Amino acid sequence: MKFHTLKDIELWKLVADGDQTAFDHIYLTHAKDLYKYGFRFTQDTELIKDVIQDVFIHIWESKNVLFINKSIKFYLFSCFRREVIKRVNVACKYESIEDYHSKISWEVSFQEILEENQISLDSTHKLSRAIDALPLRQKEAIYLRYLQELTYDEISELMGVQIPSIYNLIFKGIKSLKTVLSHSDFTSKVIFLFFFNLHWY
Amino acid sequence: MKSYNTIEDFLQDKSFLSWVLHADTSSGCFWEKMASDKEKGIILHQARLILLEFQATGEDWEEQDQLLLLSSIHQNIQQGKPGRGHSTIKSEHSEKNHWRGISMLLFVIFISMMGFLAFDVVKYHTEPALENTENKPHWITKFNPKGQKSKIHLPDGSTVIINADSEIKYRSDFGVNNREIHLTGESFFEVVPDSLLPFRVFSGKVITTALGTSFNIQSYNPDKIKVQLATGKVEVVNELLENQLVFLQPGEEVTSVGNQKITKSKFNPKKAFSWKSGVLFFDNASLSEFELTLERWYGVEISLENRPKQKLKISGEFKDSYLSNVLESVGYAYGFNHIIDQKKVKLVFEH
Repeated sequence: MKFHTLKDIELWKLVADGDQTAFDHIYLTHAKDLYKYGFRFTQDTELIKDVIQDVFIHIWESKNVLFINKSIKFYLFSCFRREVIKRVNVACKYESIEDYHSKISWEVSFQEILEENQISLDSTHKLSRAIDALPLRQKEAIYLRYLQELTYDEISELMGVQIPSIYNLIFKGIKSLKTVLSHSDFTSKVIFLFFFNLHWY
Repeated sequence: MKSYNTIEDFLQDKSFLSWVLHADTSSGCFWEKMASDKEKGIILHQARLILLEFQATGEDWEEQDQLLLLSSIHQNIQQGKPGRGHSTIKSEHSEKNHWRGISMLLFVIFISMMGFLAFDVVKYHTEPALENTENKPHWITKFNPKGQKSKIHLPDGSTVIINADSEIKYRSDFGVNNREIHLTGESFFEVVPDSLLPFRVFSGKVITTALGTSFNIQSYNPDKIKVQLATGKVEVVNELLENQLVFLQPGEEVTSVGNQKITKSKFNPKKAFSWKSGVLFFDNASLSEFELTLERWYGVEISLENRPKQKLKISGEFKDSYLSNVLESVGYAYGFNHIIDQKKVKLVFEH
């Protein structure tokens, strides 16, 4: 599609002029990421989908007044985040958002990775638990930085935290994972498995 | 050139991210090479693990479902008037707008009912299409009768040479979601490397896992399974003995007999892999082994007359030979005549 080559500003201009296929393109590019990002806050897929729907209806309806000068992705993520947190808090007034996180999802998803990658369970289990144990904000910052490739500026604005603190969150998070990795016995075994596939390239 | 001394160095590299997360192969070689570096490989792998773990949180959203929501958004957009103010994004209403708020609420309820109906209609219309397009993975089977060998190319680029009287089975999503093959009989595998999808062969109770190598598996007898490695490395495990993992080096084989411990030994590659180049190879084979091998190879039925009392040890090598030639020369050495009648073969031993 021609939209791939457009910059966000150009793409947004098309939407602002009422081009619905451009709007659809934005949806198809980002909806999946938003959906996944939603699991940082809740396991309730209906809630996540509701919010995605509202965010997109909102940007369409305010297309004439909305001026996206940063990235569209950033705008979507910040709208989405604000709205999800609001609704999750309503959904569980008496629980903090930290409690609301289901820990099971971490374990289950990690199991899948293990199977996919043939990594023996006991050794990498440590990494899984270490990530599980990281504070939510550290997890989120790492996720946004490395998995969604947002800039520090964007993350700072998104999470409402100063830029140096974002650096700090990420640094601390990776640091605790590193300690776990260096103390575990998994390296020899896993790296071994990892190597012989490369060896035959 | 960057140095890549810490996990962060990797995580900050865009091409590393797309290599790990989106299986982008454009810089694949570079990272593969670095991965085999003694020190950096470890760090690279740790960075990779962290990324994969973070990526795995949350479910992936099915495309059909995404499109469903998009059409629901379209419905809302078309029915809603510009600036009606969405119920959740702009939810503040001042006291003065009380009545307006209520009418708005009714309006929104109306809209969502419409939306709901429309949603149902859309769902109704797309469901039959779903079944057609979803392509539920189905099994693909390749079977060779006795007397026939074949070479097939798998969707991931790997090849399998299937011996006579053998069958392989894999699912239609092979190479996409998995690389798993079920084998009965004997096959030789040449596996294309793929760091994310390990190549697994299930034969009886034995599971052989490879990440890029070539090996032979013989499982005609489900209670006696042989895995023989030509190149690379594989990991062999018996389902029943979960904790027993065996790694093989080229030239090594494992034999798994029933529920006993897996044993590792050296083998003769010339003998083991000869079948795939059309060479019939006997190395001190017993008479029944000889008989069974010929039956498979030529797709015939063999019967014996005057079975000799002493044990025979048959050796010999035949490349692309007719059955009559094989029987002629073996019979000369071990003392039997043969009668070939179509698919029935009789070996008559002299006293």
